[in-house]
Amino acid sequence: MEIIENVYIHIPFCDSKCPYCDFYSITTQDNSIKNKYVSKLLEEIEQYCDIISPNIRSVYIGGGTPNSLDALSLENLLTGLLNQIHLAEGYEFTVEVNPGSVTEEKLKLFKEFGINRLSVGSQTFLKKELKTLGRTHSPQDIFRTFNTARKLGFNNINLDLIFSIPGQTINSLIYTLNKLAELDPEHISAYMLTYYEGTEFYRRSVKKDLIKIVDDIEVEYYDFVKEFLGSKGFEHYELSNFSKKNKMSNHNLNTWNFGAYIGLGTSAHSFYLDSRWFNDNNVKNYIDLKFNKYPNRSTLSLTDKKNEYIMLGLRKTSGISLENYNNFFGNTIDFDFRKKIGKYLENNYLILDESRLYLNPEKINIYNSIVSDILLD
Amino acid sequence: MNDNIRNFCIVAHIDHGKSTLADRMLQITGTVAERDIKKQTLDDMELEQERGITIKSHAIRMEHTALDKKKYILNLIDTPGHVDFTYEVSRSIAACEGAILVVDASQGIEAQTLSNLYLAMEQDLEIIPVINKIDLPAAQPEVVAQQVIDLIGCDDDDIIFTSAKTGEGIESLLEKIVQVIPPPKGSEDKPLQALIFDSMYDSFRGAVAYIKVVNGFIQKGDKIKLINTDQSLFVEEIGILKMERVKKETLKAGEVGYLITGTKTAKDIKVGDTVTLDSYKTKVSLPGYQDIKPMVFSGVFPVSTEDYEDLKDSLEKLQLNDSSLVYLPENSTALGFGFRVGYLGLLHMEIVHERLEREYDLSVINTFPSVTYKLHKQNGDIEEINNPKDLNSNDMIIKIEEPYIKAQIITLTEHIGPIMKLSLERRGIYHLTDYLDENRVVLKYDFPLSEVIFDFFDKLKSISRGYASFDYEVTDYQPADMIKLDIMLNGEKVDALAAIIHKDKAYHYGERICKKLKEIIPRQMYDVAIQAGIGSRIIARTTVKALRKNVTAKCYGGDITRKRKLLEKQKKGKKRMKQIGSVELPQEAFLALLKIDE
Repeated sequence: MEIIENVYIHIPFCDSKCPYCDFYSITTQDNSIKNKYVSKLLEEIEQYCDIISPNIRSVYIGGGTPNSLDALSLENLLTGLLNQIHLAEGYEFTVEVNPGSVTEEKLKLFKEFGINRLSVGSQTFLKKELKTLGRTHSPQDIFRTFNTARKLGFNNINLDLIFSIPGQTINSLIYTLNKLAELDPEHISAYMLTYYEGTEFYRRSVKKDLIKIVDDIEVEYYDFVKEFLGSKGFEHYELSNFSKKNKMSNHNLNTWNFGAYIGLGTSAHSFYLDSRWFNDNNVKNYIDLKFNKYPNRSTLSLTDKKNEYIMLGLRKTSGISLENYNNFFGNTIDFDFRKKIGKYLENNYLILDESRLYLNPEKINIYNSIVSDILLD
Repeated sequence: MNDNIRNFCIVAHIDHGKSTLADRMLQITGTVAERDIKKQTLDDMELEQERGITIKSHAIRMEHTALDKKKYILNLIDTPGHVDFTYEVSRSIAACEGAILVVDASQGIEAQTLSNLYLAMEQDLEIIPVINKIDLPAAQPEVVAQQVIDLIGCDDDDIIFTSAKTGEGIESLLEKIVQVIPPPKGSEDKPLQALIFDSMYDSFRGAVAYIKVVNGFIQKGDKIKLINTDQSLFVEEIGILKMERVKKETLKAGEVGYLITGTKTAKDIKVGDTVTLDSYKTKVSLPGYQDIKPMVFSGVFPVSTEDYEDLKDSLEKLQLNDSSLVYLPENSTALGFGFRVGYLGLLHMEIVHERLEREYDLSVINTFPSVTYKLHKQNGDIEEINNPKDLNSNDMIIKIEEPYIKAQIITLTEHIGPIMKLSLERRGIYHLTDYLDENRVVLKYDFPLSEVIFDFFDKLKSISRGYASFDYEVTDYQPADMIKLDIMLNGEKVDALAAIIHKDKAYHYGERICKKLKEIIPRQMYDVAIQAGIGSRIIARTTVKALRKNVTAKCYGGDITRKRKLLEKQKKGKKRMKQIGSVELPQEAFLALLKIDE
């Protein structure tokens, strides 16, 4: 029986809202709300103890800004969590931190509770671009946070990078990449800026108040990022993710491998067996209302599952393991998708070898066009 | 005894108020109750009401007590108002002894006024000139009256001024009809001859013929013969046409009414045919019958191949009440199974397409329209083709002939220059200029039909600020230097995009079509080469560069189902395109050919 070994916890609080971000967060300074929220998180996890493994392989605390909780709330959260779950050997425990606001004290706290991976929202090393993105930290904050973390013994750090920021040039991108490489983190998540509907950036781009970098240039930036990080010893293992040897994000790999996970807190999504469910985006309701188990639950059909498996698997440069697919669905990927993938195999957009089906690295830039075309009807 | 019958029609240009005038007469004679008056009572198809034009003609019987205190039967035979339906108009006119010539007091004489008037004059009808819409602020009744006097040579006093909208002048018009239009000439004592001037389809009764009994009489139960189509049938029901059909036992010479024989399809009842009795040894046809031929053809294909059967059924149903519609199965490599549909003209084509989409809820792709060309071959054979794919360079063709039309364009003198330029571009052959008055002229031209079947009229309207009017009749075939222009996508010929075009225009057309297709074809995973060629020679080319970026940057545990649905949506978007070889072609590409100048 499959059982959940991966836990996500959402902390929906930020000091300020970034205009491009579409993750759920609110900008309250009220610590009593945050404390109550933490208590409810611990209540929520309790009710899923029947489907959560006694050996947890990954925990990821994201947001929002997890370090916007005060030290006491953080301590309560981590104590309570570790009372209820048991971390397996070789676990990965990540916390996202904002380089502008995380303190040495909090980093220490994380270290004490066994957190062994940090994800730093660095985004870019140019003041001007940070300002465009609405970030409140400075390039110095990134260096400070990173060096403090190293000093405290964190040996698995991710730096987030956003590129194709309005006004960005290839030279400013090179500057940021060089700074990144100087710090020499274990992992880099490099995202093309996306204008999500509902965000301020989206509205501004529609009004032409923000000038998007055009697709053809964006692709050149993306290609450059891949090439540059490759030359610095980073393996490109997922569309937007790069890592040093053996430092891939296990938590996220589990998602791309179609593994089960539970998400706790507002807006968090869970996936287990045939079901997906998620919590609403509302801190007040989350605190005040009684829990329903499996809120907003939907059931995936077999076709949905196959499509999601393909969609997620092909995000990885290593693609889909034929054996894993066969074990999961009880028939081969060739049997299910032969008609769909034929022409892409012929023209080498997709590659099928003895053990894997994967995207030709040169065609990663049009992942959506290819994947949408091969989904089952 | 048919001295009290008056059979007449109304001829007019589009929008000059023919239908409103008819409505007003129906109202004043009490044929239709006040509360039942819809705008344009005679046009009952949804599309007709919307476009304000009459597509199918109808007939209606009114009773009117004239100033002489006698009761008269007035049969108003409505005529379709558009150039495509000239033959149908001519048959309706043939059933009449008089015609009301309606001219808009603000617009004056237009091209269609002339062509319909000529049809009426050919049949020796008594013409009653009417100047309508005198209530309009822009009305110039005196100016228009002078035009009419110059045109038909009538007296001032002969003209009746009306406003169909307010009802002004309608009583005098009714009186004039009684006084001026002669009663029908035929005789009850002669052998039966009845003219079919129209037909319609009734889903309960089958085909319904509208007839005028010219000589003799027809009775329920008669065994009749349709002379030109050589069919023997029984009269199931006859009667007269009021707002509804009213059954009668007999229809006598001079009367207008309907005939039901149980024949299922409208196409068996040919407009212009003569009804007589099967028992007669010698059967004499009334003059003027023609087997009407479609002039314009286009491929009609379902957007989704699974709709083929629905399309077939819908065309069958359309043909039931549109006897001029013809179609044959067509198979296109690009578009799959569909039909080659023949139309009387461009408006007819538009109407058919709209009805398919509106009444039958089908999404169809229409290919570039073509006329019928005659191919003269080396071995003396003459082949008629209306589909570019039937024109092959290795067919030993000595010459190609194309249909020509005689056209009249009425316009303001200030637009003569641009119109002449347009006409030259369309290979028009100029004949003469006639002045209607000092501001308005009739230009007479011959054109190849192929040059006017699309966008000519729109162009004409635009360069004349909506003023010019245009009408035509097809005359003969003349030799032409036509070639087939192929369009290739990534080297593959797309049969549904091919066109037959004049050699001198091929280069320009090819360039424009390539440019247009480049705008329409979205960037795909591969470069798409667009080429236009004649035979093996490429005359224009362009490329749609491959799509370089389409990738979702972030995808974590949060919203996988939503991401999947987005991709599935993208997939659905693709389904609406036609896959041609490796290229996805949006449906608009086929329309683009028709709107190449925009």
